[in-house]
Amino acid sequence: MAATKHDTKPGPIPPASRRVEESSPAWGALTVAVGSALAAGATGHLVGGTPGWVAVGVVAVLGGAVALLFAKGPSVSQKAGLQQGGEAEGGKSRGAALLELESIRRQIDLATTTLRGGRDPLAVVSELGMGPLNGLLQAVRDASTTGPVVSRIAIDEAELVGTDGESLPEPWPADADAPPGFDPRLRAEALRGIDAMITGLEALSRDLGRPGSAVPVTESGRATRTPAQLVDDVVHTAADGIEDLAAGLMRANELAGVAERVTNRATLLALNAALEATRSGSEAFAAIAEETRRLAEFAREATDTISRLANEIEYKVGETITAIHSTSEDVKVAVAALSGATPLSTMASPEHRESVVALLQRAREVRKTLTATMPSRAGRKPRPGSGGPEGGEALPAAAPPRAPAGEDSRTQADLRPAEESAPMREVPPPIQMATDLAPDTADPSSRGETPPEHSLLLERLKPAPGQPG
Amino acid sequence: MRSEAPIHERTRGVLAYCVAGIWFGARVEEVAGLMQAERPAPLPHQRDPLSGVIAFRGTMVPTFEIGSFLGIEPMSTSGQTYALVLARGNDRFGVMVPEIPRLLPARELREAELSEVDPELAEMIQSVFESGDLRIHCLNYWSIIDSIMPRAGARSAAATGR
Repeated sequence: MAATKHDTKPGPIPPASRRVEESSPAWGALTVAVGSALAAGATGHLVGGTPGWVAVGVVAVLGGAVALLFAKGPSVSQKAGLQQGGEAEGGKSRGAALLELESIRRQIDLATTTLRGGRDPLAVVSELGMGPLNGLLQAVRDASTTGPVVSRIAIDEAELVGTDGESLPEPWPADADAPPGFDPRLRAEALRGIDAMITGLEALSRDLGRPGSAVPVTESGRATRTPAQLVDDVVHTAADGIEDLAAGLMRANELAGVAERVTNRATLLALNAALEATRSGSEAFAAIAEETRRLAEFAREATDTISRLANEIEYKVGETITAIHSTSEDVKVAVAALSGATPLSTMASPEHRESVVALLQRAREVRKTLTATMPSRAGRKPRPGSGGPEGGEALPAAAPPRAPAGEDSRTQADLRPAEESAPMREVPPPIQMATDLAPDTADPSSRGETPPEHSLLLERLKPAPGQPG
Repeated sequence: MRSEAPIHERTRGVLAYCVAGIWFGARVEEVAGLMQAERPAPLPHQRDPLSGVIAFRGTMVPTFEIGSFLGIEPMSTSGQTYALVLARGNDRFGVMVPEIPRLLPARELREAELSEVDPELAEMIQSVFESGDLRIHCLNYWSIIDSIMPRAGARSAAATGR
């Protein structure tokens, strides 16, 4: 890791080298070659013997190559000269060394880039496993498994690394088995989400465990109109309209009474005409009397029909009004049950409670697993005012003993109210759990019976005898 | 009670009306007319069964309720009453009936005998006719009227003993 402290990227060209390149690259190379020869002489003097002379050659070649490398490679003319093979044998050796150095520099760049990304260079870039940097990278990997090279001090979400943290790469991942990108920050967010889910499930289990109703409230704090109230308004509006219609029918009935009186007068006229015809024996009077009688009969039939229809309509309207008023209560109960305004205890079955408890238990298990996979924060001081595990909240040293999954005691414990179960990770005693979840004899739903209002609905939903399904 | 003459010679028809389930009738030869009489004008010191006087074709006609005379309470179910105006010479008298009478021609009538269950009504019943299922009792209205309002001449003659 110490090697990575240095920036291995090729820096800007030194001014001296630039001047050499601008003036004459060949002279620069010659100068470096002379320097290399002097260094080779010193090496041969130090080593001695035939290997020493070989080392002299190698050092000379490398010196020339390094010189060319600092000068950003050979000039175009030199490259052309190398390609054309018009130079001496030493020129060929310098070209090969140049290529090799270029390869090393590229591998160093790759390794640096990979390490900055927090990944294993040997695993990511296969070329590095065969290059000259293999040993160095292997040593870095071995050192990372034993512990962080640089001690870190946690400051909230960020970490201060050494004195120049920005330029340092991330430490070697200790949890190499974790999925990529699943860093502690994401894990903390996941923990917070699971905590919120657990809180919601506990609230739901409390509602299932005791009667209560929630009145929806708008953002302004004013209670909204429940569906039952809306249905009630609609029913009242319909009833009012039908009552107006009934009033109109009553008025029509009165007019039918007037028509009946007119018909009676016509009948009296016909009878009087018939009496006169009978008394006088006049055929003409008899004819008039007969026509008047027919007219009276026609008027009476029409009046009777109008009166009968008006009475029928009035009767049916009255029945409809009665039915609307009698059904409105049932509709309100049904809508309240569907919208959730009815207390959950009256509509939730034991299966619903079991499902909620199972979800709650599953959420707690997931949270426990996440907490167990958290990196060890031993020795870290909790920061005051911060919530959650990332903020320094002390996790329980050991989870309290829990009953096996599916056991009744734990299922019943999860239905306890929050004020009794706080803190969240503490498990109440089994006896208290069993007491809290004991079947409420006053609650029909807890006894497996159907509440009265549901019985009414079920009775209405029952198919009539002979009616399919 | 049965007359020797055929029915069509004795009457041309009957105006029949029902009071408390009992059908009564009046021969058309005795009837001057029909009218609706909702509120007869009461007379001073009026007693039952008199109900007051009505105006019939420009004349004042005293009326009485047949139901009250027969001891039958409910007169009208519809709230309307009709007056059957009887005529004898120049005399007019009205009989308040609870409904519009039916005119039954003589061809639809057949004469019947007075049943033994009506012994109390025997003196007031002039004749009995049948029309279909109906048994119609024609009353001797003028004797009833005389019993209610004796003639002034007869009452004065009886008082003087002449």
